[in-house]
Amino acid sequence: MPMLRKVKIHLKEVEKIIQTLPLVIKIKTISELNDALAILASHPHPLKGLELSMTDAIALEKKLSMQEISYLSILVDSEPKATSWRNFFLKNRIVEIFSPAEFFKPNLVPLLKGASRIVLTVKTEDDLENVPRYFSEMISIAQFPLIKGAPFCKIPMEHSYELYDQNNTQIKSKPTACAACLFTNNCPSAQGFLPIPLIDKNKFEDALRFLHHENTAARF
Amino acid sequence: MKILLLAFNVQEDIFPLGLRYLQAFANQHHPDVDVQIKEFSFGNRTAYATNKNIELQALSYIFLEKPDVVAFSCYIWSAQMIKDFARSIKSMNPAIKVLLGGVEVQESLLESSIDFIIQGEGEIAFKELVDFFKGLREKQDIHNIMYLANGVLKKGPTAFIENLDTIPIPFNNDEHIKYTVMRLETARGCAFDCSFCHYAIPPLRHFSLPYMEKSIAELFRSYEFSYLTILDGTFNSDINRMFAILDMVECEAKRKIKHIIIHCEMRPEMLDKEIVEKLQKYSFKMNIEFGLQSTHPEVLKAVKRYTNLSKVRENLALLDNSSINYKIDLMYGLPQDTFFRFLLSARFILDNAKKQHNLVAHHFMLLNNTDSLQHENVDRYTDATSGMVIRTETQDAFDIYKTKLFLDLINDELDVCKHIQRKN
Repeated sequence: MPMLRKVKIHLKEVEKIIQTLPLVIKIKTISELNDALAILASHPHPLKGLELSMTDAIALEKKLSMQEISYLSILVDSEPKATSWRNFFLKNRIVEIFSPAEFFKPNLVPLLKGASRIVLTVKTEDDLENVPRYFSEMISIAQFPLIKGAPFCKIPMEHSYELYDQNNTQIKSKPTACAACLFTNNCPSAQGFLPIPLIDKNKFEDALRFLHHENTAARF
Repeated sequence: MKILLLAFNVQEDIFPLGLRYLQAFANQHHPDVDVQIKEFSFGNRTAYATNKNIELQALSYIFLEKPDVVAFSCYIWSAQMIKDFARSIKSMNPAIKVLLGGVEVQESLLESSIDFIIQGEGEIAFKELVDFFKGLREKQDIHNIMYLANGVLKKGPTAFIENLDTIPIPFNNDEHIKYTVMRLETARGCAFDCSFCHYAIPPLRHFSLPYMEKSIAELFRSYEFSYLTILDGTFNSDINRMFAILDMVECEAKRKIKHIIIHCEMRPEMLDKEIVEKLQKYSFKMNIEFGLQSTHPEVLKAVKRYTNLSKVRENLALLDNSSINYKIDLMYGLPQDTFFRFLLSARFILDNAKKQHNLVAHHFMLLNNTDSLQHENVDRYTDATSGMVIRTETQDAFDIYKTKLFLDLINDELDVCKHIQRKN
């Protein structure tokens, strides 16, 4: 059942589209919307939609209310307001929200109730300071906590967004400390973090097995 | 003598097979005793948590009926409430004898307001308790019971019904009650020994085929129903027997021109092309439930469930090309399971069970009287009664809950796909 795997592309990457898989088109400017919608209209998979910034999403709110868009990936790019979200949370639509740590505050949580998943995006070690709080807030609204941007060694690995998104994960150059790590080919990054190489093969056997067979399009 | 067999249930339209067996067996030996069955349904669990109207209703019923004995059938959803209810009965009328039975009971439920607990199969014990109440038997000779004598726990000898055919067929319908779901027991015990399951507790015995034939005829003669649930832990453990029973059901369904759906439990690795082809030929629809539970060898070993996964994969492909509906289940929170082990199991289902629209996984409930209670470092939410596992050697409460959340996350996407596909 390939439904969980999806292809996320920019408009210029249409050759990467796989007809049998869900499709998400990343639009960088509002002007790309119509072209993206045209491609989505002819895509046969029921799960299809857009990835765009929150600012653009708000500007395009009416167009995004189309039922044809069953998948909406919103990148928070400014302080979210209460009115920003409600209209996106439609029945039978997956809405994922990527929020940088700086915008993720406990008072945001009630506003996000209705999202399918909320992903905290981090860039530095400092961004991880409030991760335990983030986890408990996510649990309080029955959300599986996901973090994007953190190396596998800095968070419980199963909460790494990239773990399930290997196809779209760029493996950047790593500090020397990462050389012995079992996950050098899978972990998104260690720049900006103090890495602790994961070397216990027994402990990570099942995670490695999972990744070994994960060489398909992204799960999320 | 008047005995009230009482159960608190979630649904009210399912045939109370266990209580019917007790009633029929007791009446066979004591036709003079008035054994009645009464079920109360609390339906919505949330509503139940905030009021106790169902208890008040049942207490009022007992008050008006004035039985000599009230016997409760305890299951996972009712065992906790039964202790308080028993105390209330004794407070209302200390002369009423209170019995507990069912798969849930264990000695920790025993207290002064409960006169006897029947553990294991109930028919013999229930009949012998009636003997005792009538002064025909000594207390210490009653099989399968527990009781307190001056605060000291006493247990009777153990017994199983060796020949299941000695149990009278329980399908008379003098009350003309309608049930949506009827139940048909074909065996007791199981050929397998999975540590989490009640089926594995008693020795394996079967009702004879002539008994089944009479039983099925009586069932169809007496009841209007839509679903028939076959109670057999592994219905396909004996293929010839399975088909003989299904042929009997087919014959009666055709005779009565009934459109029914059969629900049963099987092991997927024990199917083959010929069996699948034959199953498709019946006029009734079949919903088969496969309890895979996990695909990880360490987990399967810990719960003594040995599965040939390549055969499962092969047979799911056969079923995907057939008209047979199936549901293949997993469990999360099992001993030795971890988040990633569950994920590997989930992926096996997603990759191989193409007909199934979502992932079905149940929180592991640590059941009373099962071998799973022997697992070290496994703890459950409730103490005396069966309940969800909250800790194992390999997982804490958050690990288990996050597995459930991940499952929801996957199913949300699958549900959206299913909805849109249906709409189109």
